[in-house]
Parts: sequence; structure tokens; C-alpha cells
Amino acid sequence: MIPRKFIFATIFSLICLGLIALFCLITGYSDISWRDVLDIVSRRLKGEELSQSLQREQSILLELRVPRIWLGTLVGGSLSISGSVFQGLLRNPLADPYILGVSSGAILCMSIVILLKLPSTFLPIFALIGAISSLFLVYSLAVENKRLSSNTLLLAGVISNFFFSALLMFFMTKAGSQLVEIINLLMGSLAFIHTMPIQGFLPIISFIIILLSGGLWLFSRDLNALAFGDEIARSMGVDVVKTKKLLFILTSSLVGLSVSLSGAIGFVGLIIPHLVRMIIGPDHRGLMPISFIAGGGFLILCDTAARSLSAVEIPVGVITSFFGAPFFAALLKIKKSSWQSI
Amino acid sequence: MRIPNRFLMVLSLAMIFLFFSSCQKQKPKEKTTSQSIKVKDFLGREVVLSKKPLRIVSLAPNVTELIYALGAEENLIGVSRFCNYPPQAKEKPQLAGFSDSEVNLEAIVSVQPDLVIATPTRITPLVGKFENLDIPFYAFSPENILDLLGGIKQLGVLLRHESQADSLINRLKREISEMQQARSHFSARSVFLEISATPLTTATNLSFVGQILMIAGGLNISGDLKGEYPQVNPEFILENDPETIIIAHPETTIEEIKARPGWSQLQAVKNGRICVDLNQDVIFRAGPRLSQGITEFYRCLYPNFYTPSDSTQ
Repeated sequence: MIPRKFIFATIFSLICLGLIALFCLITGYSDISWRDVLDIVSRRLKGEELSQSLQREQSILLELRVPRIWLGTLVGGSLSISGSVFQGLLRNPLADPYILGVSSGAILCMSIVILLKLPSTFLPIFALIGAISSLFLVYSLAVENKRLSSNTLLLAGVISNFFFSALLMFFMTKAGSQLVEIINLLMGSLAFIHTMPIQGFLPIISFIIILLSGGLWLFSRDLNALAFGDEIARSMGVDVVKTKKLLFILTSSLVGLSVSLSGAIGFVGLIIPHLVRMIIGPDHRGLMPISFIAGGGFLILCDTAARSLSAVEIPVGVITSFFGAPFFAALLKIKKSSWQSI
Repeated sequence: MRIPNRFLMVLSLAMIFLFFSSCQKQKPKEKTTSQSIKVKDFLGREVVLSKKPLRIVSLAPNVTELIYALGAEENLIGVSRFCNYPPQAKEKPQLAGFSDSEVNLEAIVSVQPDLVIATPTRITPLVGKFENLDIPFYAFSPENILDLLGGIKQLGVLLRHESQADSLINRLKREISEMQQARSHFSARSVFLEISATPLTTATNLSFVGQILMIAGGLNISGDLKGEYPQVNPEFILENDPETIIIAHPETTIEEIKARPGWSQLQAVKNGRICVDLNQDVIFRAGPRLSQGITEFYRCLYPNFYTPSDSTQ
């Protein structure tokens, strides 16, 4: 069924992700050493009281870093897997998770919350509303005679993207002192989890993200067929219309969810699928799960730099592009031939 | 961490007192001829006015407040849409918004002002436009309290309301030293000042609001960070464990702050020392309501000692 090399590659990348996550856990603004972590664990196991400083370190670890790393894995993963799906579905190497306007719709609605000075509780809710409504808008624009062609979808997405961006920019001129908050949404950051009341929903959000990603992976064979074009895919027994619709809706929901959690973090969803494709090839059965894991690992590494370099946070989107682009360029030079194959 | 902070505070207080004592002896630098007036604005530009300005446009709320405080309001013919104090200012024609792009140049030209005052911190294309249109433009962008007092002096010269300016300066100085005396009995309190929740932003000692906080007796845990309004990581707050948390924005409630992950560890949260509902206009504006801004912070830092009669004006 699934080639053995994909299973091994997935397990290997999961182990790497675990190691990266552990590294990210003990790296941060506060100096927390391995010894402290072990001390906390052993005292907790023995049921001993923690000293004041250990208690503080424990809450830094468990309440600040662990949720943020977990969120980073989920967001990076969903962006990368969405990128890989869109690149395959639209047969366009420049496709990224935001190309179909879902993120601009979400951010537009979030900026309304900011402009009206509503409590930040509304931010994720409005983001989801924005993402879902822009999803339906793009869909209704793109569908013709109950068919969904890749190019029309792409164009409809780009058009709505422009339209939402225009509205957003209009809002930005009216924003005044709240401008920074809107810009921050556009750059994306995992720090929102510290101040937006989303931490309590993290289990349910994780469940949905994993469910959606797993759902997407079930279509990996169909995506492989679609890479040859609609006609060939149809001859291989793929229900092209239904598959495209489902892929579009699943992916857009995933993107909308991740934007509502962390704004529009750039670069991850565009580059990680390409990177993984260069390494293990264009077969979606392996590409999709490994993209998810690699995207998660890449984002939490970048985010660790964003939150650890000083007390002042750097937007993670800046770091993903700053370190990701040269790395990708180098890889492009080395493995030029793999670039073409989507 | 704390030593440079305290040092800065002492230094700034010393500077303020130095200014107070030297102010009387200082001769105004501005050349005052019988008719024409020449002053340097905050961008180092020379602004020349041949006569007393009678048609003034203010593009910033703090400038509008100052014009009212100097008693020149009948010459004020246009404001920005953020000019909300004193309440009468809202009835003046609104010619601008927040940013340069929102300045309605045509509207401003059509009211034929003989002086435009705004708060740019660098020479923007807008400044050049006013120069090209031969409309005198004065940049009023004080970065600290000393600048503000000096700026009021200049504004007085410019508007030919020198005596009002002097009495306003004296009033502000008196109020500041009264506030300082009032709180000199208490030790400074370490404090985290939150400017915005998402992103989590604070203010340093370089910002105007940070300096007001300092005078009120706050030992800002992020006072020495880079920039004026840096975004901080919550680990930094947990590490420094401030005595008081001041929320200077309306985005969050006390319950939400208590529920933030990790914040229950903070002594300020445990002791219920979280301050919300500040009057944002008085703490952020470099204007005549300076002492009210200090009082807002004073109320947060020393709630047990605060009595409403302390607030001046």
C-alpha cells in the first residue's frame, strides 16, 4: 500500500521533531537548565513541594513554552500540508496556503475586532467567520457548471485576495494607534497564545487540525493522479469534481484555523513542501505527512529564535523568511533538477 | 537590572530640578523683534511668523489641549478628529486623522491658516508640502517632560501668549514637584505597563508615558529595553515579577489577565495589584494634563495612600 520508505521517513522525521521540541523547551528568555527540568520532574513524582523559583520555572515551562511549542507544531504543520495540497491541486509551484484569499478574509475580520476595540476573545471567532465566508465566496466565484477548474479557482482566489487586501488597507488607514496590532496579524506570531484566551481550546483545536490533516492525507493518491491533469485523473477513476471541492474546503478550513490562532505566518507553507519534495520526491503519500512534521519543526525552531533572542519579541514571520530563504536557495542550487517536478 | 533603572530615575529627576532652577535665569533663545518672530521647532527647522497667528490649525490632540490651555482657542480654526479635549474642541472643523495620509491638505489650505502645528518626529513629505504652500508649519514633538516644558515656552512665543505659557509651565512644574513630594515618603514600586495585549507591548523609559510612570514612582521592569514600545515575551514578566501591573488599554479585563497562562504566579496577580480603566488620553499625551497622567499612575501604584484630593485641576 504505502511504500516502506515513506513509513521510515515519517518515523525518522517524527523523532527529529521530538528532539527539536525538547531543544525548544529548554531554550528561552529565562535560563532554565536540564537539571532544573529533571529536578521539577523528580520532585513532582515524589510529591515534594517546589521552591518558589522552581515553581516559577515550572509555570514558564508548562504554561508558556509547552503550549506555544505545541501550537507552533500544529500551525507550521497545517500550513505546510495546506501548501503541499494547493501546489498539487492548482498545479502551480507558487501556490501557498494564503493564495486563495482565506487568510485575507480572516485577517480582515480580525481587524474589525481591533478597530471596534472589542475584547480580544472575539479575535479567533471573527477569524473563523472571515475564513469560512471568504472560502464560500471564492468557491461560488470559481464553480462553473458544477465544475471546478484549477485556473478558475486560482483566479477567483487571487481576485478575492486583492479585494480583501484593499478593504484591509482601507481599515489600516483608519486604524490610528491600533495599526500595530493589524500589522502584527499580517506578519503572524505564535505569541498570541499568551494573551488571547485560546489556550483552553487547544485540545479541541489540536483534535480538529489533526483530523483535517488526516482527512487530507486520505486524498494523497487522488492528488497524485490530479498532478497529471484532470483528464488523466478521471481516466484513473478519480471523481475530479468532488475531490477538488473536498480538498479545497478541507484545506481552507485548516488555513483559516491556523490564521485565527497565529495570524498569517509567511514562507512556511510555500517552502517546506518544496523542500520535502526535493528530498523525498513528489508522491503525496509521503510528501503530505512529512511536510506536516517538517513544517512544524521548522516553525517551532524559528519561533524559539523569535522569543529567545531578547526580552523583546521578533515577529516569527521575519525569521522564517530570513533563515528559510537562503537555506532554500542553497538547496535549489544543489538539487536544481527537482524544482520542476510538482 | 534594577540599578540602572533607579539610576535613570534619579538622573531624570535631577535633570528636571536642574531645569527648574535654571529656567528663570535663562533668556529666551528666540529672537523677538517688534514684528517678526523666529523660532526653531522640534525638527530643527526655522519657523518665521511676521505677525501674531490668528488662524491656527492643530493636527494633534495634545497641541489642541495646549492651545486651549494657553487661551488661544479663539484663533484655533481647525483640529484633527482625535482632538476631544476640552470638549469644545470637538466642535471645531476636523481637518485630519491620525497619519499623514489622512491629512486633508485641500481642506487645510481652504481655511487659509497662518500657522499649522503637528507632531511629526521626522521631516515627512507633508512638512515639505506646507513649506511649498508657504503655510508656516511648526513641528511640536517633545520626547520627554523637559522637551514639553521648553516646547510650551516656544509655543507661547509663537502664539504671543508668553505670560500664559509661563504660568502654565510654572503650574506644571509645581504640580510635578508636589507629586514627587507626595510620593517621596514611599519607595518606588516595580511595575509592568501594558500598552497592548495582542501583541503584548510595553513602554520603556524613552517613551513619554514611561517617563510619567517614573515620576509617579514606578520602577518600570521594561524601562531599559530597546525602543519606545517593545513587544515582550511573558517569560520576561514572570522572571521580573512586578509588584503592580498597569493595563493602559481597554482590550482586556482583570479576569482575563488573571486567567492568562502563567500569570497566576505573579505577586501582582496574587495581591490583586492590577490596575485597569486608566484615562488613556492623559497618560499618553504630552500636553497640559501632565499631572493628571501622573495621578493616574500614582493611584495605581499607591492605592492605599491615594486620596482623590491629590489630583490637581
